[in-house]
Amino acid sequence: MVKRLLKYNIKSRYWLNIASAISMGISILLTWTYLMYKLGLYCPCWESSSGFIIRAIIPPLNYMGIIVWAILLSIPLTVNGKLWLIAIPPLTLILTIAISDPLPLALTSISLMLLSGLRRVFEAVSAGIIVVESIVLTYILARAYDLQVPLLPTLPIHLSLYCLLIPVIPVLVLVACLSPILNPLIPKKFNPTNHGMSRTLLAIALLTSLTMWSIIYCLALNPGLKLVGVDAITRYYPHAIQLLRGGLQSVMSVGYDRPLYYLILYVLAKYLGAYNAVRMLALIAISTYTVASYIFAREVWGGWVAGIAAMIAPLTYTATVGFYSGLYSNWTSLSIALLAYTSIVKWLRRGGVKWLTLYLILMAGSVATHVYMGAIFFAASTTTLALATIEGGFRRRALTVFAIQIAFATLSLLAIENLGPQLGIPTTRTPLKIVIGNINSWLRGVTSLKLFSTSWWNNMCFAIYAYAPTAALDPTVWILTAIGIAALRFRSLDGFIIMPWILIVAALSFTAPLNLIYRVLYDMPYSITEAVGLSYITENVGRRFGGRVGAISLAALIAFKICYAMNYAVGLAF
Amino acid sequence: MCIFNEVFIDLPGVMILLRGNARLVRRVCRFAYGFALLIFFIYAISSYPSAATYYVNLWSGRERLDVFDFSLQNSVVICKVEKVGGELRILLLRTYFEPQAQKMLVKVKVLSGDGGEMLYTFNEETTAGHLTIYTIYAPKAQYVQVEVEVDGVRVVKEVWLSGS
Repeated sequence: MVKRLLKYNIKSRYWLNIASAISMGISILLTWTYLMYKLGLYCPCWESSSGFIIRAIIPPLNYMGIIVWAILLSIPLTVNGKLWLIAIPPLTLILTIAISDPLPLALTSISLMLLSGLRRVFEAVSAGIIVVESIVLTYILARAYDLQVPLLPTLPIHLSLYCLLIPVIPVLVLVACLSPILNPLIPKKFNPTNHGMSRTLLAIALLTSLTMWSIIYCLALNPGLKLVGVDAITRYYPHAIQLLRGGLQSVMSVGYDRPLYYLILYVLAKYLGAYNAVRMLALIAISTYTVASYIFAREVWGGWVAGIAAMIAPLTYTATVGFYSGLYSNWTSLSIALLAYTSIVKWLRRGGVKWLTLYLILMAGSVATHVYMGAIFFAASTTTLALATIEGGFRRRALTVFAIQIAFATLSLLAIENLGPQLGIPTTRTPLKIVIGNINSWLRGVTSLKLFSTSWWNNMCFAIYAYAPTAALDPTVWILTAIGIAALRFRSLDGFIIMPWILIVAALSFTAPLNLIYRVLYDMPYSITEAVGLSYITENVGRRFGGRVGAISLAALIAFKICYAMNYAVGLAF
Repeated sequence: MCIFNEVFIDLPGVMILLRGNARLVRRVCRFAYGFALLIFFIYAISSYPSAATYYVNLWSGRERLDVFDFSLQNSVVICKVEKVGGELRILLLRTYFEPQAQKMLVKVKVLSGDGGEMLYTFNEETTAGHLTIYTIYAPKAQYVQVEVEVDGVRVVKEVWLSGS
């Protein structure tokens, strides 16, 4: 009957179809949460005021909850099914009340799912995730900004979405690091189409960055407005005070391994005070990374991927670990590295001395902002240029910049080695000595290393689970990175940039001492690799199930990431 | 285009030999490569489970409370009292209802077989989804009353213990 009525009212049918997809999606998600609860799974979280806690996955169901579930089930059954199917939800509800367990409702949801077909289920689950995550986001923002709005208990549904993958996160990290070797297995390579909206997405991304930053310094959660981030408290704040006391000349002696960054800190501290300067560092890092991700992705793949990269930038591993540990200089150096790569792509494609000059300045800037991140960028870009010489179109320009880069780096290192003491750098801490010292300590560790042994996995597990607890537990970071890198063309400019970078990060993180694994893993632009993976998946989903389903699945994944990152930021603010 | 295509296009001699079968050869090569990778990954993760057991408490293996044990009348806290040897274990599971509630006050009254009465008070921050366990040494306990208040919402549980 409902179907017959809807035949004559196209607008109502459109809205009822949406309502049907959402209610079916939420029913499936409730079933999934119930299943996770039955498996007895827990989810580690970082919580404001309590710190590290383990949360149980409990379906948010009391009498009201099961009535809502039954109503949700009745909508898709009525809209898409036959009229007699409307009798099923009340019967299931009665059975649920009789046995005091939502198993009948879960079984009905599974039956509905099996009857609906893959496309419908995919669309419904994505729509359900968007709605659930919107409610979770309201809950997070209400907590952060002390808003008096009615809150629904949807957090366990959000946790249930990824809790099953928590036991295998280190394995996912391994797969992501080794993703270039998966490349030959993917027949259809990444070939993005442009859908516009890139500037709108950038604006939303910048707003998200600002929100992330403001959450950790919001009065409701952090009433004392204490500094957040390990390095922010133990390094940047005391060093900012030291810089204010010592003046401009102390920049080199205090921040010998990141002088440019300490110069910025000095300027900020002078005009804003030490405390506000350190707070500003976090905002500068997250917004610079968002903009740099956008600019790089726009140059390489166009506006659509750039918009997605910008959206992901404040929500990825770089942001969560960056806020927890206060790795602001690493983060900023990574952003400068992305801008340097943009210049080199422009130079390789179009030429122009200004791009080459800008590249060299930005490369020096990246190294001067954080010498370790800069060193990884230098190694990756050198390999990129060496690979680019293979391609006929880039050979001459790549060779030119390769030679200039090596000469520039050698001369700079020698110059700083000789002039360092006059500039105030301790003679034992010049860049060349830092690099040689690190290589030596690395080599000592590598000789006794047993790759993929139990002790090796112990170290990896520590870096993933114990360092910046729960920051690395967003599985989408590693899955999308693995898919994104594997989908790139092996012999193309994007492949030449991303693949050497991840392989260097993989080689170093696999062989790093315990305390450096996370720092090496941090030196990868996950916003870029994730954006590639996400647009690759959604394009394929769109090709198979239609553009609307592709767009909904993209929105669902971004909604999940927003909630994960913001929930983490809420946990940090105390 | 995948790397195999590029390799085979770059080797005209091989293409002549395998004319007509290039697609099949590519598929076989891809399958062999995929199989080799699978073996490699199995080898690489073979030691992972023994390392991961140290972190198993992060996702499983903790004390568990059945929230649908007796009814669907779930409140902000689900309480369970059990006696293990001479100890009373009070398990409190903060559900996800009333998510804004943060403060939890727990009052435990224990009556012993010898007529003694003990009162305990716990006051702490609570978080949705968190399980709290209190252990009280009370070998002669016969009756336990647990009164939990989470930001104004009260839950009372009374238990008569047998075998004391």
